[in-house]
Amino acid sequence: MVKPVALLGGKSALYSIIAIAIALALIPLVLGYNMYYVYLAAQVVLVTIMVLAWNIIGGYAGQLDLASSGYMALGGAVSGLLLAFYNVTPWLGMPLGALTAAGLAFLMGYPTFRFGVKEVWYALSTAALVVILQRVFWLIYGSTEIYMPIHRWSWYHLRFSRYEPLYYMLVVILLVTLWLNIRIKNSKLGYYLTAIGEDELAAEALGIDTRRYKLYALLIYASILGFVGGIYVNLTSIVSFRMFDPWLGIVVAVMGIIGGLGSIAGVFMAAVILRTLEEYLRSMFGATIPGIHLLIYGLLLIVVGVLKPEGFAGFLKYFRRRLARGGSGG
Amino acid sequence: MKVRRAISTAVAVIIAVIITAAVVGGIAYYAALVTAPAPTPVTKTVTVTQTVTKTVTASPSPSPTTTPTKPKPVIKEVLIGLVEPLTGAHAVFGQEAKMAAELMVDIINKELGGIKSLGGAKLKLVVEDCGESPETGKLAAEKLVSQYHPPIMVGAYISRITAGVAEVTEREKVILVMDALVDELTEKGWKYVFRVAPKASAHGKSAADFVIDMAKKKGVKVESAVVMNEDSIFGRYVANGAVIELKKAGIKILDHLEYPYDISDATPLVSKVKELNPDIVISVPYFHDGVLIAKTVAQMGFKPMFIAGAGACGYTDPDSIKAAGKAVEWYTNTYSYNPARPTEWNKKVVSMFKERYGKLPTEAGGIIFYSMMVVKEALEKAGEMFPDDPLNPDHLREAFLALDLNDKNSIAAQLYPTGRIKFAPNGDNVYAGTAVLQVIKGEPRVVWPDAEPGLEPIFPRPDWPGK
Repeated sequence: MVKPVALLGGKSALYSIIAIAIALALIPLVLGYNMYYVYLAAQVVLVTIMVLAWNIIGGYAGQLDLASSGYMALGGAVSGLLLAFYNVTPWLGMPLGALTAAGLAFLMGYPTFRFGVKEVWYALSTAALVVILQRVFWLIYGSTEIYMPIHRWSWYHLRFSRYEPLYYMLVVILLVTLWLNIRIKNSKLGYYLTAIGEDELAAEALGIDTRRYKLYALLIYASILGFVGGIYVNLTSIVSFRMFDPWLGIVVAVMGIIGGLGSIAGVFMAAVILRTLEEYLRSMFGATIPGIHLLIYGLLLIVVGVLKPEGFAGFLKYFRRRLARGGSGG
Repeated sequence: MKVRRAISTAVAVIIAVIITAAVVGGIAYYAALVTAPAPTPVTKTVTVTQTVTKTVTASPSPSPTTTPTKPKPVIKEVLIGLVEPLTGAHAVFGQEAKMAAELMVDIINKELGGIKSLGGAKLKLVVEDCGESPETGKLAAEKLVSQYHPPIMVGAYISRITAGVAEVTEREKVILVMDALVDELTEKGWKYVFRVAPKASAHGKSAADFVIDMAKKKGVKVESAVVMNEDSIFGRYVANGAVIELKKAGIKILDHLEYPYDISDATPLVSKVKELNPDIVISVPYFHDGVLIAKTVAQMGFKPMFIAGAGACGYTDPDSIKAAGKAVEWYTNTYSYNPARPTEWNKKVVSMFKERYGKLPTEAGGIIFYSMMVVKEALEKAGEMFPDDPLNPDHLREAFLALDLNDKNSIAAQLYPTGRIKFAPNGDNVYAGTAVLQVIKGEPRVVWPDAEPGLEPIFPRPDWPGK
């Protein structure tokens, strides 16, 4: 990765984004357009978007939100069902999905913030939200799996027989999410959110309208996920109640925490490294010693958690310090 | 001012990215198109060792126009991809499928001498874990294809994962022999999929056929039925199959009930059925609901002519019998595989499986037994029909479609409950059917269509008061 350290600063953010954009744009070429790697790269970018979006509510505002998969699946369901049943293009379906997710986030966020649902209770209620969504979807559509229409190459349906187009769309969304993260960090909203994340009571005492800014963060987070849901659905070509996966919501939060709460570069690295590693372990050991990849993955999480409680961001800081000292001493 | 500058830089960045992406994407697509005729450079890992030996002898070449006969490829090894859920919630099934596949490959290579029409080519299994979601299923399929590009793949037991795998195999023209049962999988117009196993609705159909057949044999008349199922995609398809078959036989369906699979009280359900008072009940249970239903039926003193299960889980499996005790006596269920089928090869495969793994094969393993054997027999056929290029996907497809297997001419058919295999153009087995197991004295026994030696299905239920 090209100097993700630079992301920590504000000035060189532009160069970092350009560097990341070029790197990501070249990845399929470097991988020789191998379908497996491109599909994997798309998965990695997707998870990275989720974690970066989560960073806004979880990292900055310090709200342990576990509903990321719920918002994404909701957006995906809107876009996917419109495409499957009414032949509506995802170009329309995705914004609608984002809007629906934001609407739900408002319905969810307004009362919870109004009545001061915080910390563990907020985490629990968001985790419950995913399960509720799953059950509601199940009640409406049953356990029927809805398959996306098959097209060999259609921009209208966003259905392709290769993964590169969807990969590039995901990369664009990733860059927008990255830019949003940087923008928010260096804006009034970001300072307010950081204050709320540090100590909500103190922030309120300072006169910050905590309810409103938490809601802003939640809405931004939910819209990004709702939007990207449409691509997720086209990537897996299936809509079912299983998309509302509480486990994925937890994984995203764990990656955000391992990355170092609020640190863009750390979160970015955590998502890329952990998702790639997970797939690498699965494909290495999945068939020979089933289950060992989950064990190794879990152990790694524990090791990072114990050694560097501040996450990947901690490693980054450490390396930057060493670089500043000319690499000597520790 | 500052904000405006930031926005404009951001816009510039986004435009730059989109342009880069478009350019690279365009190049990518162009490159892919150019290299398309030959499978993409990276996927070109040699799968079939094709040592070209020039046979100048007059080989039976189908094309008389070209005088120099095409060199006949010598194939030493045929790769078979196996994609199964080896981890996660469905690992039990995937593990058994893998065991069964390994056993079958050993039998084919060692006992049957490989694929004879391909000069004794051996099968080689390449296994990939597809986890428990469509994403990992697709990843696994993409990986198998890009690493080995096997001509034939087998998998993936769970229907939603299989759908993801099939998208990949269809694009790459790899034959996929599916061991997943949901009907829809063969209704999507896919060209390179085949399914030997009885699909979900065939399970329901078999349950109905069993009841109709037994009623005829015992001289009782079935006039009305209630069909009920747990509300999963599989349960619904199974029940629909039963409903269609019963209607065809002129039996009146009094009601078709659906309930959640994790139902906690079966009393309302059973009392409704009791009120309708049908001659027979066909029930598609999961596990726990089957136990509940059977117990409630016993408690409420509901005594219909017969209660037949369908869909391979619940009622007749050892755990349900343990949990429900006497309540599930005389219940039946349908299975995709009949471990007790008294054919030479079935007995042999079951005893080998038992010897190697120390347990009896169940549904997941049984489907793989005959699916792998069909793969072998299709490869034989391809070698006979297209000696010049037997592994071409379209040739393989034709070979699968040309198969017409029965107990006398095929080992695969001997392993199959109905003893006959022939594929329809959509890839389904025309003669698909299941075996019926019945709980007799607390033991699950195979009673239909080939009963265990010395065994008769108990029909109607002995406690049926008669009409």
